[in-house]
Amino acid sequence: MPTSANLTDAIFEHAAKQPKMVALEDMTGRLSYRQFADLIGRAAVWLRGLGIEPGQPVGVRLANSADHLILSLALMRVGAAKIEFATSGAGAQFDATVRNLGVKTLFIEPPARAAGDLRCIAIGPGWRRTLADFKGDFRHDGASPEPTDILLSSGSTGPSKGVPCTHRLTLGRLADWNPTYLRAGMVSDDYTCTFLHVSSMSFTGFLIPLLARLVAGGKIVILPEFAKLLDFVRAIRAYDDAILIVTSGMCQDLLSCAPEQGLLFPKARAIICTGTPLSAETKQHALRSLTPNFTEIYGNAGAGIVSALFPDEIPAHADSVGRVIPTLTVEIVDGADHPVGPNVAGFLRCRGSGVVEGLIAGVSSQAGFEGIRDGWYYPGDLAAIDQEGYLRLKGRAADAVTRRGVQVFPTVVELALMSCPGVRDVAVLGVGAGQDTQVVAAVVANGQDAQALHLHCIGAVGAGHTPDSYMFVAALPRTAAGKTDRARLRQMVQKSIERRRAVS
Amino acid sequence: MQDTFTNFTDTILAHAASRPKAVALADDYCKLTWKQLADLVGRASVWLNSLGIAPGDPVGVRMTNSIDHIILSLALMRVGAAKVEFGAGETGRKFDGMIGTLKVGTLFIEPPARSLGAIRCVKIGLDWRAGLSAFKGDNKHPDSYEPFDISLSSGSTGQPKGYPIGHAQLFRRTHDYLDALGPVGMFSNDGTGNLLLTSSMSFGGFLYTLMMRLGNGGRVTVLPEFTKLMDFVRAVQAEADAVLMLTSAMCEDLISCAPEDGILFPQVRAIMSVGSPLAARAKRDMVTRVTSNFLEVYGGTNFGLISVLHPEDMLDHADSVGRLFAGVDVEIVDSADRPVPPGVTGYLRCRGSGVSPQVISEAPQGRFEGFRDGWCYTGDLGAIDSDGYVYIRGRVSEVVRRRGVDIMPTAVELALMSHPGVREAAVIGLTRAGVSEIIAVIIPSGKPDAQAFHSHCIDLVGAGQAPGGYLFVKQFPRTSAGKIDRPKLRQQIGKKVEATATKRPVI
Repeated sequence: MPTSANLTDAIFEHAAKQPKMVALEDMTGRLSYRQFADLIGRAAVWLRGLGIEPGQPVGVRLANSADHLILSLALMRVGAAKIEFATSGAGAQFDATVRNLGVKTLFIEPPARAAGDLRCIAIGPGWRRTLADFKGDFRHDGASPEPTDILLSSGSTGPSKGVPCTHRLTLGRLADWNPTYLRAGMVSDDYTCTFLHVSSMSFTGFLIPLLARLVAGGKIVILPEFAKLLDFVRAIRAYDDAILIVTSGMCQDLLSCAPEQGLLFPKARAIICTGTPLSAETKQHALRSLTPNFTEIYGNAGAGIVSALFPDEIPAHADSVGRVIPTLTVEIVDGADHPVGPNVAGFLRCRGSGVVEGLIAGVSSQAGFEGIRDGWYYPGDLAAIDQEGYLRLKGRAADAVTRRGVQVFPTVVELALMSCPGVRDVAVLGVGAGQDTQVVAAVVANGQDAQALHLHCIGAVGAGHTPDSYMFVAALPRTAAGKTDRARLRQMVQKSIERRRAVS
Repeated sequence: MQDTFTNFTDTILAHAASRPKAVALADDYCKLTWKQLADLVGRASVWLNSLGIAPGDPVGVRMTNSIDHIILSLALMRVGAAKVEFGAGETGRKFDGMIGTLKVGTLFIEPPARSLGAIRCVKIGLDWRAGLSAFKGDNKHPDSYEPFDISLSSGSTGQPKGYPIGHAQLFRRTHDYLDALGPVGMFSNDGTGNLLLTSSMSFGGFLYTLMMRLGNGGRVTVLPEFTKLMDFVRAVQAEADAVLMLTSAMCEDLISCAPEDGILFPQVRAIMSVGSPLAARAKRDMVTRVTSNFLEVYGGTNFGLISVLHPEDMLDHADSVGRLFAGVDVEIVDSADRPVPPGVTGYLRCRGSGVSPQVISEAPQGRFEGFRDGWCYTGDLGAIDSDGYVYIRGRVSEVVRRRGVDIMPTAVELALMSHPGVREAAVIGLTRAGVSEIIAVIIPSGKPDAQAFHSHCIDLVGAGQAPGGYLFVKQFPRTSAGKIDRPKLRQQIGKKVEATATKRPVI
C-alpha cells in the first residue's frame, strides 16, 4: 500500500475494477461498489460545502445504516478527524469529550435535536436524495500527519480516552485483519462471504474489521439494532456463509438461544468474539453450539488486534486469549518496567506499526495505567504469557484490588465464577480503602446460593483471591459498547452496602 | 368470504385454492404463498392435536412477532383452542394472575425463555417450522361460536381483563373493516396492499387487524421490533404498497423525524392510527408530513369498530375520532342509562354481532364498563354531534372530581397537546390530605413554558377544567401496548409531589 493512500482509495479502485459487485446492503437496499464510491464522492463534496476542513474534529452520533457508513467514509475522504459516538451519547461525559476534542460539528439523526453550542447536522431519511445535487469528489492526501479518526476507548473504567489514528496507521491495522480472517475460517480475497455488521460503529472493535472487508472488496450487510434477541438470531440465520463479529455479551445472549444439540448457526462461515474475554467454558460452548469456526480476539483502541485464539486452539487453550499476532511486539513488565518471566502476571505493553504514538491531551489520562512511555503503549491491562506464547488476561490494572496485602485480579475471579453452573454474568470489584478494603462479586444468576459460589471460587483461585461477599443483581450496568460499566456498578454496590449498614 | 365458513381459518384455505402462488406472509428473509401457509397451518393443527390441545382449551402464547407465531396462532384457531396472547417480556404477578384467572393449561414460549414450574411450557424453537414436515393433513374444529381468542385489555387502568372473541365475531368484523376501510385503501379483498405488522401481537388491535387482513386475502409483512426509530423509518420506506396500523405514540415518533418540507412516506398506501386518540395537531401533522392518506380509527378489541376519521376531515374535524361507522349500534347515555341529545357528553355503549359477549375479570367492574342489558359499555366518555362525529372525552375510570366538578383527563390532554410546545400530555388526579387536584404531566417538545400551556388550556377547556399544576418529564411509563401506564405514572408523580411537599410546605 503506498504511503500516500487515503483509506477510501481502495473503494474507488474496486469501483473501477468490479463496478457491479455488491458493496453494501441494509434495509433500504443494495449498493454496488460503483454506486457506493459515487455516493462517497458526492458526500465528500457536500461536506466541503459545509466547510468541513482536513484535520477538523467532527462528531458522528448515528445508528448503523448505509447512510452512516457513506458519511463516515466521506469524512475520511476529506481528511476530517472523525469521532464516532454511541447513539446514547449525551450528558456530562459526552459534553466533556466533545469539549476536550474541540468538536464543533456533530452529525445526528432524527429525532435527536441540536445541542448547546454544537453545530448539529441531521442526517434524516431524505439525506441521500440531497446528495444527488452534488457532483464529483474531494480527496484529501492520506499521508498528512493529522488524525482522520479519533477512537474513544470504551470508558469502562472512567472517562473515554481519545486515540488519534492517521490513514497510515489505520491501513496498517486493516492489514493485520487479513491473516486473522484467514485463520478464522475465510480467505482474504473471498468476495462470496458476507460480513454481517451487528453492533455500533462507535465500537472500534467493529469498525476496523468492517473497513478491512471493504478494502478487500467484500460485501457488507448492516443489520438494524433489534429489540428482541430472537429477531437478531433469525436475521443471522438467514444469511448463508456470513462472518460476524460479536461482543462477549452478545455471545452469551446467542448461546442462551442455542439448541440442546447441533449448531445455532450451521450456515455461518465464522464468528469472531471481541471485547471482555469469555470464560473457557463459554468458548468451548460457543465452538460446540454456535459454529465450529469460533475465534476470540483480544485488542484495544491503542494497538488494534493484539492476540487471537483460533478454533483449533480452543480445545487446549480456552483459558487464554490466544497468541500475539506476528506484526506486534508484546511484553509483560513489572512496576519498574522490567520484563517478567513466563506465567508471571504484570503490565502488558506493546509496540508496532499499528500502535498509536500519542493520546489526546485532556481526554487521555497519562497519569493512569493507560498511556505511552518510552515508545511503548500500555493499554492498562494486566496479563501473563506462557512458554508457548499464549496470553492470559488478568484484568484492568485500574481494577486490581489490594486486600490484606494480596493483589486480587477481578478478571481472574470473574472467569472462575462464570464457570459456576447457573451464573450468567458476574463482575468483581474492590470497595473501601486500606484496612477496610473488601472484594465484592456482583452476580447475575439463576438461583442464589452464595455459599456454593464461595466454595467453588476458593477451589478455583484460592481463599486469598475469593470475594468477601456476593451481591445478586438482575443485570449488570453496561457501557454503550456492551462492557460492564464498573463506575456505575461501584455506585450500586456502595449504595447497597450503605443500605445494609443503615438497616443493621 | 363465504357465509358457509365455520372456522375463520377456512378463509386461508379458500385463498390458497383461488390464488395459490400469491404471497400471503413475509418477513425480511422469507415469503410464504397462500398454499404454503394453508399447508403449514394444517400441519401445525395436527401437531397441536398430538400435544393433546382440545377445542375450548385456554392456551397462552408468549412470543415475539414472527411468521411462526402467526402460523401457530392460525393453527390454534383451527383446532378451536382459546388463545391468550401475552407480551414476549410478560412475567411477574400480573402474568401469574392472568394465567390463573383464565385457567391457561399450556404456554407456548420461545428461546431463550425457560419453562415455568406450574404450567406446561412448549418451546417454539428456531427449527419448529421445519419440524412440521413430519405432520400431515388437517385438524379442523367446526364451531364458530367458541372463542378463538381471549383478548387482554391493555391494563393501562389497572389489572387486565380478558374478553373472549369468537370466530363469528371475527367474521363480522372482517366484513365491517372491509366496508369501512376498503374504499380508502386501508383494507382490500383484491390482494393489493401490504400490511406491515409493526407492534406486538399481544396488542389485540394489531392481532385482529392482522387476522382480518389475512381473512380478506391481503398480504402481511412482519417487521422486527427495532430499538432505533430511524431503523423503523427505513424499514417502512423499503416496503412497496404498504399499509400500517400505528399507536398514537408511534405516530408522534414518526412526526418527530419527518422532513421539514415534503412527506416522510410518499410511497405508503395508507396509515391508520388506533388506541388512544391523537391530538388534533398531530393528526394534521400526520396528513401533511407523514402520509396524505392518514386515518384515525376508534374501536376496541372487545367491541370492534366504532368510527373512522378520514383524511378529508382533518381540516374541520381533527378534534373528533371521525364519524360513526354505519354498521354499528352506538349510544351515548347519562347515568340513568337515558340517551342524551347530540353534543352532550355521556357514557358510550354499543351492541352488535361484532361485540364480545362477556368479560373475564377478578376485579370488580364499574357500572359503565362491561356488559349490562344487552349493551357493551366501552368505559369511554364521549359525545356524538348532529353530523355523527364522535368525540372521546376520556375513560370513565379516570374522571377526577375536583371541588365538585368532574374533570375529564382526555379532553384536557387533547387541549394541551394542541399547543406546539407539548409533545405528549397525561392528566392525572392526585388526592393529598382529602383534597383532590389534577396535575398535567408533560413531555415538552422544546423549552417548557407552564404559564403558556396553562393559558392555552384555559382558552380551550375553561378554568374549571384546567390543571392545578404542571410537571415536565422526559418519558412516560408505558404498557407493553405502548399506552401510558397510568397507575404507574400516578405512583411516580405521587412520590415526586410528596417529596417536594415535605421539603417545602404548601401554603
